[in-house]
Amino acid sequence: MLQRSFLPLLLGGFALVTAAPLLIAAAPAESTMGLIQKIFYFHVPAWMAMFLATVVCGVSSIRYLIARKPSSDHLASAAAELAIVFGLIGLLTGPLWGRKAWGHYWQWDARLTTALVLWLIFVAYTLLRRFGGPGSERLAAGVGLFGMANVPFVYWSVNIWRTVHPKTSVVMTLDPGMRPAFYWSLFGFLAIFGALLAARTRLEALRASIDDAYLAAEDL
Amino acid sequence: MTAPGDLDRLAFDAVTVDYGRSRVLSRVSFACRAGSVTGLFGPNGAGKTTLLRLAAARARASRGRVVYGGGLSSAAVRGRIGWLGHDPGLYPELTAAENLRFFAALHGVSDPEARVAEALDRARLRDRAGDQVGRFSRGMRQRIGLERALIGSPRIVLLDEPFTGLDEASSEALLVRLATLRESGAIVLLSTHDPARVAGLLDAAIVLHGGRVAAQVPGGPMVAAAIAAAHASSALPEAGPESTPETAPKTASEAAHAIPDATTGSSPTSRHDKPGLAATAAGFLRVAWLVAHKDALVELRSRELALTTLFFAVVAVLVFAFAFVSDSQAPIEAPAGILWVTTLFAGTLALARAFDREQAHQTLSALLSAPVDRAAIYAGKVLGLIVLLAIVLAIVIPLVGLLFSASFWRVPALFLGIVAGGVVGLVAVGGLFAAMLVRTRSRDVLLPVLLYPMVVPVLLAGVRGTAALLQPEPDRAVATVWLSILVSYDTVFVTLALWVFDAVTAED
Repeated sequence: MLQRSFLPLLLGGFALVTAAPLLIAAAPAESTMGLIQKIFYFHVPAWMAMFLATVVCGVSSIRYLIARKPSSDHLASAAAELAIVFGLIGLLTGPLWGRKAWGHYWQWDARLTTALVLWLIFVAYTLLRRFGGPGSERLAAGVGLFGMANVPFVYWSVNIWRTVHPKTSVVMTLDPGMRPAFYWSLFGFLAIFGALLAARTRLEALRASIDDAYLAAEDL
Repeated sequence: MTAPGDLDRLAFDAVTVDYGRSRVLSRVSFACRAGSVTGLFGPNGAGKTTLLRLAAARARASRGRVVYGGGLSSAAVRGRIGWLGHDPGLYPELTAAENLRFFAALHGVSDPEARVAEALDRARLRDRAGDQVGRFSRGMRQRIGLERALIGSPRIVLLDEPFTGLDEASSEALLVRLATLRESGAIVLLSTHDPARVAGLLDAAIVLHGGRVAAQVPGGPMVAAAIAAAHASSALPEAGPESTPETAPKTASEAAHAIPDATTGSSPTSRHDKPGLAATAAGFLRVAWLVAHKDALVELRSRELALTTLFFAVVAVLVFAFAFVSDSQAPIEAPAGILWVTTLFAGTLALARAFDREQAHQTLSALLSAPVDRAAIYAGKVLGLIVLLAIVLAIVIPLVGLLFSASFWRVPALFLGIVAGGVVGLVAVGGLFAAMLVRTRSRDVLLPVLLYPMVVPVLLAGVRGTAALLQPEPDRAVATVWLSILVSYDTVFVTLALWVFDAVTAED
């Protein structure tokens, strides 16, 4: 199903993201931050896509550990790489916003630190896959599961600790005028995430089939 | 006669094993019956060890299957397999008797003392029972290693080059021992490069070449010559599923009949009183205690981990003191950071070495092959490492306090709680990662790469909580918040680690 939805997701995602600047420009400016607040429309959807990627990776890892189906491993691997990509967007846009809003690019507060740590866990995941050798799939699945377990800590960190970062309630209490632009961007990011996930999973499956073809050649 | 559900057969049904793009075994089919000895022959890289690992449920077939008699799964059969690899799987710091006693306890052997004495007699090492195995010759270690593999009275005995390092007398004794095992109804599968030595014992021989069955040879006086001919002939009929029906059975059941059945034999009387030790909470704790006690004994004898970890930690603290202390003054929060960074670095060193040491002597495989809950083994290793780090910190904390003029103990209960919470979190996650990386390429660099992002919350909570207690007026409220975060982290990650340890450390 993921493979069949690749093209619609890709086209839909690009259409949404291409049109997003129009809605973002039309959205009302935030009273204190002004124009710089527009980063919000990229920053938050990128992190949401990142969280979704970590959950997909974690759940697929559990399935792989239990059933050992290669397709689950392919999905987990693809999702981990996308967690890095979307996390990087969040990590780059956040400091740009923070520089104007707080006067600093970075602060070691709870949300920023835990988010960075979560991103590093998935970088470590891909390093393990790349350098761990045969059999590292199962070990990576353990790391993916542990990475997912960190998501609640990151998400609720702003509500538990005193932090400069806005709380999780910011989306639910968003100005009605900002909502169309935000949800438009969010669906655009999620559609692109879905399309990339489908493409990367397919690529991984093809790579595995090439391995199988090499092995089949040994039987000839 | 074999009882229902008993292990009366071991069969390979079109088994293929791939590692990446390398095919190690290709559609191998044959079977062994209870009360038989089967030899595996072939040049290096033919796939003999992989085949034995498959039989031991320590590797997983990419295709095909390994079938155990009685319909038992590979997990259920684990405790009924005796395995002796290239390394005897013994702790060199423990005595022969201590090694055997430890594995007998893990296998739930009733009357372990009598069993250990019997095993020492069989190994002809009763007079050396109290000597550390590290001082034994290769042959003596091999003899004790064999007894270690047989301590749980296994139904399937898998031996990889068992004659390596044995002198003539010991080799003869091993042949007699194997004959006894056959008489008792065990399934014996062994690999060797010396067909002449075992020719009189074998009921069948399998010759592997390039991961395929090149020939199946019935036992008897001509077996050595037949194997030699199979080795020499480049035009061998390819046995296994691709060859003629006369020489190569297509299925496991056919394969089972194709192997000559010299002695049916009755099943050996099992000496197990319990299927495994960790089926209950008490069993879990007992296994954890056995492993932790064993680690403590090994460490007491070698002092390797304690001394190297302590030396590293002390040097790290001295370097930090040189960098941060000026005119006997240091930044107020520096001691907290230095204490925890030192703990993290020293802990990583200890974690990596603790599991490397198990791997180096093949004792980790022997441990994980025991019929116990693997999570209990993990708990025991973690317990041992916590004690080790506690000893190191007992020296490092006063040293940091002295060099940085820091008073850590003004609120002792809170400080102790933060230290304990941090150490448990570090060792719980680090122990899991060190165990799962132990057979991995690049494990030296991968352990910190994986571990450090994961334990940043421990580091943060440890540093912030400790720093709160180092303020001119200790901030108990802040320290309590960080302690509660540590407890939450430990609860989540210890639970997860116990749950996934079996899955991520399994060799199959």
